[in-house]
Amino acid sequence: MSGPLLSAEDVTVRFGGVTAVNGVSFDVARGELFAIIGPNGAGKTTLFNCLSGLVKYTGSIRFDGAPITGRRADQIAQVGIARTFQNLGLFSSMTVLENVLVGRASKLTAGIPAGLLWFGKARRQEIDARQHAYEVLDVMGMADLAHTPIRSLPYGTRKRVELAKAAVVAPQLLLLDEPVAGLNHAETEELITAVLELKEAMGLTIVLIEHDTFLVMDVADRILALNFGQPIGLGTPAEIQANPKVVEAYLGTSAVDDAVAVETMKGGEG
Amino acid sequence: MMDTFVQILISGIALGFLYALVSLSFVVLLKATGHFNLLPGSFVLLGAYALFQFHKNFGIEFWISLLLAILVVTALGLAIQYVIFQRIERTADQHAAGLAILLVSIGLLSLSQATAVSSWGAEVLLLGDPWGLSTLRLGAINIPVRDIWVIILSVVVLLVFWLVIQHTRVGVGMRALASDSQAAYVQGISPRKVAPVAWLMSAAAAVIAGVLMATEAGGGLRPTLDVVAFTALPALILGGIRSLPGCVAGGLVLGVLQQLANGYAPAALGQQFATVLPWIIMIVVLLVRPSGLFATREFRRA
Repeated sequence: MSGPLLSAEDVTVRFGGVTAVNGVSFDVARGELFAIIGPNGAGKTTLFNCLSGLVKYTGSIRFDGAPITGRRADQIAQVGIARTFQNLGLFSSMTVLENVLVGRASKLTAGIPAGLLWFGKARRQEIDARQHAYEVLDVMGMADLAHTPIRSLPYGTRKRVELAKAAVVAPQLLLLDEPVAGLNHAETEELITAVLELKEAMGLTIVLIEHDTFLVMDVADRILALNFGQPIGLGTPAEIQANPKVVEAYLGTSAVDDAVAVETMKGGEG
Repeated sequence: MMDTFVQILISGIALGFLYALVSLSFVVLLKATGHFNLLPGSFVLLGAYALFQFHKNFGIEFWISLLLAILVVTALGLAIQYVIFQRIERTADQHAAGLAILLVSIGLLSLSQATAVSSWGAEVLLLGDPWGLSTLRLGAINIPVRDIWVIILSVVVLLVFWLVIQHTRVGVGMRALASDSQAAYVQGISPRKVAPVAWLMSAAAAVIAGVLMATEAGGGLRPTLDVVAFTALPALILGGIRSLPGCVAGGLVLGVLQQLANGYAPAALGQQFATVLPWIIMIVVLLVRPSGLFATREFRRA
């Protein structure tokens, strides 16, 4: 099928008197790595919550040509949209393997009696699911942690588990909410490498929320910039860097010369 | 001396398992719906009366009546969930919804008492003696056969619950929803698929506990049976409110302590000392460890 994989039109979210997301429209092409940037409180996560069906909004969102507006979160997950959470959406009392398998659980079709008695279809499906989960954990170098409970893992590793959990359902679209927030430099590199490897291996389309603008400029194909819920820029990294509104939102204009700001944004880590 | 102690210990364990069953009924609902409610009290009461209806009035076999009673109570619970609780959740915010659901469940509790009185009368009804009144003699120790049934049935229920929760996809979904509901939704877990199983589990635990309570020697079926069910609340608190193994541990600890107090507490403490002891323990535990003795710890980065 042609056409964009994801297309949002005039998405608006109001919480009481606050407009958290205001008239945001964008398309994400198949195989693209699309980034959403913006200062704290810009509405990035709220926009993600619209995409995964966790908040009510006006406007429309289409996935693979079909409208998903008004569908429940679990239904949206079934059509092939997976996501991670900024604050980790892991089940901390469960092991790494159990966490990764939760997503597969929704695809198993055998009933409770079969599941309990461990025969036939239930058994085959469970074995397949586990094999697949181990493959994904292996790609991410975590196969040896499979039976470790989440609560005994360091934060950086938890972030990788969450990525594995989202990827294991073989989604068409993967939504990553600040995947490297709170990670150190080495952990960030490791995680981003894993994301790019998974994208390559599984042919994923990715939408990424990220605070670290340098990182985004490096990896994203296109970028949407938000400020106070309003879209203020949409384009390639070069276009976004040259966008005065974006520069203003990040650095403010009153005290800082625009040119300096642009240079700072282009500067990268070197 | 020793014989009396062992006898007291065994009746304490039986009582403890009853507490555990009722607490489980509360915990499973809390985990599946996200809100604490008092419906298990109604389940205990209506389940026991439903069994009376099927078994005594319709003359259906005891075990089949028990099964039917569990199904009827499950259906009732699901109806309440879909007709009342879900609407409240949709319209009220998280905090207000929790309180509203708790208050609604208190209302439903007195409604079910009234229903029991008007349908079956206020007098004590006898369910018969499904377990027999005999006692098992082991040397000088006498164990009522009913106590053995209590322990067997409870262990079977607990084992089935454990298997369902640990080893089925519904169980995995239940744990995922309880741990982080939003993360569970976006992983494709549907609360609509998990809820019926959770209500069935809650109803089964409560109805079995209710029937066991109503067939206690010298007991019987009365419209205040739900009040008896609430004596399990200290076990729930002691167990940490959200932990299933905690329910069992809390129930057993309180059951044994209560029976020991029944047997050994000096008369000076008053006749009702054993009855109030679980509540005293609960208050002390809440003061020392507000999250309960066996609380499951959850991690969440701010």
